[in-house]
Amino acid sequence: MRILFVIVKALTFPGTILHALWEHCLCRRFHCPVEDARYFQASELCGHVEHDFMPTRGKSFGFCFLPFLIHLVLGLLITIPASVHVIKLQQVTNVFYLLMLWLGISLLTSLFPLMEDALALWEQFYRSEEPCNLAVRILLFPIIAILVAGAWLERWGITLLTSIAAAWVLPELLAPIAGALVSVNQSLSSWLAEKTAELQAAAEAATEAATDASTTAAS
Amino acid sequence: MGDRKEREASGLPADDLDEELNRIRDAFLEEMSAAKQAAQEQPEGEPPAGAQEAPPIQAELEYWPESAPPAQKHKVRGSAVALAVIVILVALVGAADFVIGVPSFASVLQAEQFVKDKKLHSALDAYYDASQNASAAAARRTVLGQARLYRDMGYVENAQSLIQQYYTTDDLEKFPNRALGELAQELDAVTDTISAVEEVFSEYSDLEDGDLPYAELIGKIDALSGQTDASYDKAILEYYKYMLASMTEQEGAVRIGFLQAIEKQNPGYSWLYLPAMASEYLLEKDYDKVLDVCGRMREINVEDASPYGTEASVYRLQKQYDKALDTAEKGIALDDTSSEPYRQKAIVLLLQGDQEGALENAQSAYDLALNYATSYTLALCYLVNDNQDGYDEVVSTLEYYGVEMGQKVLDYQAGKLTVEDIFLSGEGDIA
Repeated sequence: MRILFVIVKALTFPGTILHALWEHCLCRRFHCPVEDARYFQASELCGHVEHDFMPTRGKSFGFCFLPFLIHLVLGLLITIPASVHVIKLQQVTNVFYLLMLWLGISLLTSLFPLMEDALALWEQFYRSEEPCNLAVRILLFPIIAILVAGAWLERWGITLLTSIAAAWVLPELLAPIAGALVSVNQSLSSWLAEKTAELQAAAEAATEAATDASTTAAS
Repeated sequence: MGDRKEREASGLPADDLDEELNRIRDAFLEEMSAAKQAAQEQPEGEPPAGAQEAPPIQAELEYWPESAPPAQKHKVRGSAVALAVIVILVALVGAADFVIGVPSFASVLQAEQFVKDKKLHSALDAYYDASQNASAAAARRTVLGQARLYRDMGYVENAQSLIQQYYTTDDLEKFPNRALGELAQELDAVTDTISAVEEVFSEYSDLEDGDLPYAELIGKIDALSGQTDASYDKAILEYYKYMLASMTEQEGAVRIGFLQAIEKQNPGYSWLYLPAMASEYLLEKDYDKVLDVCGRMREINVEDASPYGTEASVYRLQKQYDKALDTAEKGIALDDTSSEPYRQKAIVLLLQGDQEGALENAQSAYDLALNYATSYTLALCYLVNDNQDGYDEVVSTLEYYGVEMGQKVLDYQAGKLTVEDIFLSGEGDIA
């Protein structure tokens, strides 16, 4: 399975390298020593950096969640338009959009932390001897659960399939929203144009009235 | 994590998750204790004492002396940073494209949904919106969907020109474009058939419709369908037989037989045979079948107002004027750009004695579509309202197009026919 994992990571190397980069930056930001900073290697550490233990829950959460968030946002921004052109509108000969789609899928394939980091995060929030605030535990549960489940999927290279599926499905879900936003924008623009025209007409009428009044007064 | 290499060295199977979880938990607890101990000695978020003078990474090494490798090995890689910058730039391009390209795609999706919902007029509008973006307009999915819609609504030439606008013959032969290629072939067969039949008919161009040799022409059309060197659309050939039967005034059963043959050959040509069937059954006074055909037309395109016009004429012929009026108004409410519901409403109002209302609706129908039926109906309404100027205006418009006023209108003007005679007996219509 490690072979499959490494193959997936190699196929999606931009996402692999960037995920490791974010982890590395966060280790530096959180003053957490890094043991192995090779971004790309033929092991389960591929796309991650080996680091020492995060001393606090907050840092541990940030370390797992921030790379996920960055990759999710960038991945969606790249994947959705590319998918619209390549998969949905079938513009398969457009090299730029093909590259964009691959890049977006690469980012979405490397969303999650290393399995051990995800489990450590779980332990810190839900199995620690010093219990965490209940509200925080409840609020963060969905995110941490997604991180743990995603880390497990990524370990088997399954996130490549999930990111392809996302590229296939998301445009269908989001395109109507984008269309509605544009419609609202168009309605707003036309309303503003109408109001501006009304104001201009009123101003012209006022100017004409003033001119007439001055002419009458002069005569 | 600190114990990874030891565990890897011990040869643990990678998929033994439970065992690994236990090991991780133990390691975590050990490291947690060590981390807490270290954190208690040092306020959180600040580097350890004495680290201020050292560079940040060096400070970390001092903080974690047992595991930290030399600092210079852990510098962030420039190539990775460059990649990050590229990715962010691409994401910005993507965001811009999301605003420009994705709404057009939304229109394509909307058009496809309208087609599924049988709202074909709305689908046409949505495809028009999508085609405002050049990229979306040229996309295979848009062209295929729009061309199929044109074909299903009977706009064969529009479908052909749309495909030709974006795809050459060579493009259509490529595998990814096979669906478009098949559609283009289908459309070519229709136009080839029309050309072939028109060539046959051109030999008899000097004859009046009633003088055409029916049997001979039917034989020639049948011969076209048997030709092996050309692929003619048999449904279209059946339609020309129907046209011939109408021109030579064959019996209704014969004409309806040809229309049924079209349906058998290609049920997708409903735009071709259903309106004609409704007219034929109306002439045969088989009102149940007319209503049935109107229902089928509505099932195919729920936004088509013409079935309401035909249905209103059935109720009018049955002297159910309120029902006829109600049906015509339903058609107008559905599509106020369709002329026939307005014309039927005008006729019903004329029969009910509302002459001004009739004129107003006849004028609307005439403004929407200039044809024999709307022109004659408007002319009649002007005569009923004693408006000679209006009548003369219609006559001059018809003369401009080289058309004479309908005989029934002239008969009404001469006092030979009444409004009831025209619209309730015989063919039940003015044109």
